[in-house]
Amino acid sequence: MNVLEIKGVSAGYGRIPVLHHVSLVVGEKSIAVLLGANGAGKTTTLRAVSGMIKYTGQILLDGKDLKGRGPDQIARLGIAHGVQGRGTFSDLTVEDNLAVGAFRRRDKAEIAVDIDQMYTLFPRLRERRKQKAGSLSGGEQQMLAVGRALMLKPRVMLLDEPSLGLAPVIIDDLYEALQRVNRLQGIAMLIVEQNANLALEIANDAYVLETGSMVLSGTARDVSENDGVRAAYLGN
Amino acid sequence: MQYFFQQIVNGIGDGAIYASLGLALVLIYRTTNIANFAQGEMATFSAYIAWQMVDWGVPLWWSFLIAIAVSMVVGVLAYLLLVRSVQHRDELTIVIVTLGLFLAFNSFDGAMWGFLQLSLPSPFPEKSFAIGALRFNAELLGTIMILIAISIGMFLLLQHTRLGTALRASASNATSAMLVGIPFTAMMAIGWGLAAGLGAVSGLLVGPKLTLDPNMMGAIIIYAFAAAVVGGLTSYRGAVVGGAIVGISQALSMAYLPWLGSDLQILLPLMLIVAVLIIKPEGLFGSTVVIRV
Repeated sequence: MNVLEIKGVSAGYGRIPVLHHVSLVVGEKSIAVLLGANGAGKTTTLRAVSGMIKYTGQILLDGKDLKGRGPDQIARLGIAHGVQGRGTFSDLTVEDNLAVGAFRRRDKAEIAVDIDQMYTLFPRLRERRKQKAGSLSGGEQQMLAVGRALMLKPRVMLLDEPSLGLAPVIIDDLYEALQRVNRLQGIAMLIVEQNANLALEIANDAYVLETGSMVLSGTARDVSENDGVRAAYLGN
Repeated sequence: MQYFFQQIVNGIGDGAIYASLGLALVLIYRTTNIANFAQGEMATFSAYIAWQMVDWGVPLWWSFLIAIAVSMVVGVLAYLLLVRSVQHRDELTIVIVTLGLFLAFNSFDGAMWGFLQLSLPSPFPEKSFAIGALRFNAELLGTIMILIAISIGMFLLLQHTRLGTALRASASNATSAMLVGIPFTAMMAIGWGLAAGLGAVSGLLVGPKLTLDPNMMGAIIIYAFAAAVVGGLTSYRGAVVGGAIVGISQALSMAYLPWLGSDLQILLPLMLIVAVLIIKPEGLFGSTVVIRV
């Protein structure tokens, strides 16, 4: 059973087409990674899924067509989208950011437990819980963005270059946390990355976009052994 | 000395009114990033609604509550029908739209209720109390108590409720707010509704003090803008403190600078705005936006 299915999606901004018949699936409890160079259409794909741009084709969450729904409705159905860069609420405290992440949920007691769980996952956030998100470092903000997305208890989490601009040791921590969340809570993920090594290590499936078209797909292992991918995205 | 302190007390009373309208300005500025020049005219409209209710024989306090409720609905509609479509346009467009709203409310009031002065009864008894050598009348105490109640209410709403957190999140980052499932348009509309309610309170406090006519809030809105700008335009606390500063300085200048006369009074808030913008552009409590990379 697939959680997320993208079928023949074309999209763009105004009259400029970016995606051409892109198809992709994210299986139950699995991690898919979407690779591609700058401008290949990775972010556009995620934006189509979360309802931020119009598209033709079909996007299904648990078999339910998402077309015509706004981003807030899609979020309430269970898609959490961690945008690239500053996706946090900079004037809110770390704790309020996490609480807002659970906006679609009504289980108050559970929410408090989950906030505590995020602090266990990202101990730095516990130290800074009363600080405004805008005052955090880049790495801490990225962790907060991931934590906030998880608070939604999503069916599938979309992450746009979570490692961008982070120090290697922090990227390791972040990916370890993502893997743990995926294993323990069974949250499916679609991760967009340029820096593909770590993403391919934790992913089940991988897709490669080139100038708006899907040029390669398969298991993460197969894709990472592809010569073209090795040259373009793995640095060897 | 006693005269001096009495002026300060009176100034705080007026300041509370500027603060309540200033809070409305801050609320809209924070949630939709718009300086709503029509806020005062919307408050005048609220006062007319109350007058109309009283005229129809509705008890005074009910009239006021109905006026506040109607104003909130009108605020929501103003956002949904007009402001929403221009919200993301350039600043000049937005300014023109709020000035259009200003004229629309002003003309509507005139067309409905005429330009003659009407009188709105005061909700407070004509009593006064002496504390030491200072005199407090019921209106002054009531006005200050209402402002305190509004401030506490807003604090609780914004800081301690789910709706408040959603409002703050929408103001902070619209895209991320939608991505966690917050209905953004509804939040903006609620922000405008709440602001219209706050503005209505100021209109209902001003109405009985002055006489009710379509231009009643003309000067008050300038004092309220001064209060909000002195406080930093993004800070609720700033609007309250700014209101007190503007009210007190106005009372003192009336007492000690009589040569200013009532016509030049209006210069005072404008001078305060200019002084703050020159010395501390972010206001006393405002936050400068720090972008960290």
